[in-house]
Amino acid sequence: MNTLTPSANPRNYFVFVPICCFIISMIAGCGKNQPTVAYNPDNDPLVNPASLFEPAPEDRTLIATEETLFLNLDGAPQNLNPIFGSSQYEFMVSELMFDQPFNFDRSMEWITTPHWVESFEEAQDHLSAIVKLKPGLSWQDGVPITAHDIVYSWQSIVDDKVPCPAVKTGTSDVIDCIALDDLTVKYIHKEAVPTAKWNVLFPIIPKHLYEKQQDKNPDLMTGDYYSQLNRNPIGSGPYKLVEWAANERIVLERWEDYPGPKPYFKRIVFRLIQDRNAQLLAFEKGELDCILLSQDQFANQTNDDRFAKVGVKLLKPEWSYYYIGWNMDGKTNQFFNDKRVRLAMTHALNMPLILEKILYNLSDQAPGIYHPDAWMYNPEVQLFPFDLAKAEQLLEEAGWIKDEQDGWRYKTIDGKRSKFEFTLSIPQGSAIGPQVANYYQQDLRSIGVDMNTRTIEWATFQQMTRKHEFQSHIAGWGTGTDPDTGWNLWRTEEYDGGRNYGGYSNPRVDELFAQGRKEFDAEKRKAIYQEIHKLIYDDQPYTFIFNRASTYAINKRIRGVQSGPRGIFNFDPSIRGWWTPAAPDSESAP
Amino acid sequence: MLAYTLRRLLLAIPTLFGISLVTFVVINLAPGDPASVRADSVMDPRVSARVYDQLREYYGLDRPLHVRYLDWLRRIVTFDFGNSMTPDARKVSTKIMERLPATLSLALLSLALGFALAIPIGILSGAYRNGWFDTISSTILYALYAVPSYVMAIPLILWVSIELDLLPFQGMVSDNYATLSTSGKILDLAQHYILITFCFTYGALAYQTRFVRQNLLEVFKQDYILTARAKGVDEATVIIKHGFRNTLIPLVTLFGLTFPQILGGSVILEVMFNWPGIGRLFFESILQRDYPTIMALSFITAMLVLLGTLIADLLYAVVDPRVRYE
Repeated sequence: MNTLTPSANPRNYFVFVPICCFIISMIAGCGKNQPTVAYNPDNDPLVNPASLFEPAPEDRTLIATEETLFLNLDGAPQNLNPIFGSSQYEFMVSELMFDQPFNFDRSMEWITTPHWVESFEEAQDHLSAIVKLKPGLSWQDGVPITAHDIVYSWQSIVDDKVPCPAVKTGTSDVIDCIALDDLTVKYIHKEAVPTAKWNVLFPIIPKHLYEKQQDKNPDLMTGDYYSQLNRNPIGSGPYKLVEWAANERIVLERWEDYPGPKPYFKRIVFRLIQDRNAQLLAFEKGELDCILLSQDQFANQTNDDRFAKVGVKLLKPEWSYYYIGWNMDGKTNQFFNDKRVRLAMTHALNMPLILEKILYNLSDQAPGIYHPDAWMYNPEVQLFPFDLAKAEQLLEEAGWIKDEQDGWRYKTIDGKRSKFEFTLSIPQGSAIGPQVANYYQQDLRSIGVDMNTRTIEWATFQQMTRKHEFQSHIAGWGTGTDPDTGWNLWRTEEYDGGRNYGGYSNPRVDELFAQGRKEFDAEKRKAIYQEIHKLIYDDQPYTFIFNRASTYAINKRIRGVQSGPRGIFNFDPSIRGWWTPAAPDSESAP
Repeated sequence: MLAYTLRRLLLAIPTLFGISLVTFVVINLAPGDPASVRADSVMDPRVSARVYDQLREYYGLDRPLHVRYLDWLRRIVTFDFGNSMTPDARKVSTKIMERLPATLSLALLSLALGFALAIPIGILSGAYRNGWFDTISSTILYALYAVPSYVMAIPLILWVSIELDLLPFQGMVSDNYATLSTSGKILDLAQHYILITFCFTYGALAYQTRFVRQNLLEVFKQDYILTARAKGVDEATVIIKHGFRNTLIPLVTLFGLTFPQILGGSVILEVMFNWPGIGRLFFESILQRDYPTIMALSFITAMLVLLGTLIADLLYAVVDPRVRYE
């Protein structure tokens, strides 16, 4: 979403996902009939055709290498210098223009970039690492890339004068970065932890261009020089910027002297269409090759001939989950610090109905904080089913008794009779939130619980969440690269200043996170995080709703798409690996 | 006239001052600020808290409200709107000038088109009241009036752009705009303007037409119309010269009122047609709490609105010989 798309460093940390972007979606159906039978993606011939995932052939003559790829960005990038990037769509553009020595692949495995790195070695004590660069690398202006660029980039990122919040995370855990010679860099870590190598994944910017006016504008951002440079940066990646039409499009063109694996599309045009309906229309007109579909669009608006003529659909699991978070700190409410109440709330959420009616069978119920495909997933986790009788029983046990007169539940606390009435905060623009709330409200009413809803603008929503000023809220998390990134979500002490917004506290979970952070043995780490998974699920600090799936419409001509825990973008190679077959069997480009 | 204009311009200063003060206070009272919006994007709250303080200092948000407002006032005198408080960090004036032509041209075009159509239709309807033209035109116009423009936009795009493939519906120019000849460029721009201008115009058209018609009917009741007819002036002259000229005065007022509406009501259509105008910039700036851009846009919009009403007032003197500004 826009701008309001949650912005985050794509490397290290969880992404706070607003349930949809801030798109003003008007009338969705465009007059198409709703099917009477529930949509089932398994019976949809347009979903996941094998050709979509076909890797590029070795023989480049089979590939159309002069084509243009048309993509859409949910918001207008503001700055293409990767250290200032703060949103997924900015990274989408800047990562095509910049390379870095380390990266991660589709399954979020840490990797080195083969054409950059000669060797990478971590010290025995895990406190430092040395990388040797390959000679002959250069920036797009021909100036060689050296170890000094890496050191300079690190210095800039950790410099307090440079406002680059998103990449400071992690990078500031590298306490020193030294050029041993022109091609060798030594990184010194703050702590010996298994996740330390993620901290060297910061972007590399050209020293010779950025140091020029640093005396005048130490923020590397303001002033005509930097403003110009950041909007038209000289990178090291396979694409160069050729046009940036304010708020209309950004055009990249392949850098033919690129030393790494050459990407297949000659040009990439990024459009900036915000409205989802307009995106779909542009897709059907062939003006976009790939768009994110809402669940409703996926199930109901993309089954006609007009769509089938140009596109297919991609449906893959993502490791992100949506939840209703309960505030357990006892300050804003007297309900949710009782585990029985939280369990009752979970039993009252009609998951089968939500999966079918709101999510059109495109997503699965979320089994807690880890996705079933993840290595930390604990198969012993038992899902709590929708069961209103069980919910009522738990509420009775917790002392919330139904008043036969008005049908609501009451409990006498400190001599005062209190009604079970609370507010669910929903971020504005969320497509799913209000629908879930709607069903939930009715079921809760039937068991005597009065739920109000309140829609709140995103920035305000975040502030209230941070200050624990909510009773319950609906939100989502993307996945971090390592389960250690859940540290500040679940540990007791993270209530103050961390992201433990609801005040969750379980001493065993605290202890396990501390163990996991220091554990280098993969099997032992797995056992630690699996235990955390089960403990948190059984405590139900959240009512876990569903794991969002990647739901995209992609032009039929596109091949080589990969997907992973984060979806289809923002990993190596992602777009760089997309291709389209040479004529005659290809669909012609728009 | 000149003295009047100058006096009006001087009077605009306290108005603009008031508007800017209210805007400044309101946006600062809203939860969140440019620093928190960006610091919240950092997923490690420990880092985030430090970044927040750094950014507040960097943007000068740690100073008291009145100091910041006075600072803003001092700079505004020289039309210095400052730098955007987003990672973009460009001059706010540059950002706005990039967008203003798209919105302004659309507003003016739509306004001109609206009046160019409303006046003849209104006159015809009024002159032949309850005749077939009156009935048909008001039925159609009212039907259109009832459909909000953003509801109209999607089916219109679907039909004209997708099914018939006649017109583009995204942005102001095509991808190959730079390579086109001058005439090709003009044609390309014109094609992009058609749908969005239609959506902008049709709603107000019903209103404006009705307005012209109603005023004409009012004027027809006047004695001087009776006089004109009595002395045998032909009907066309009665309608145009005696009738319509006298409806111009309320029409000018309507113009003064419509202009700010068109200028302000563009966010949704700009999003749907991907139009690079200031409506979207305004919306995005608010979400990002980009104070300098919000301030500059409110200020410029207020200025344009004041200018619009001033022009309307001056036009009174043109259309009504009785009005003289001394």
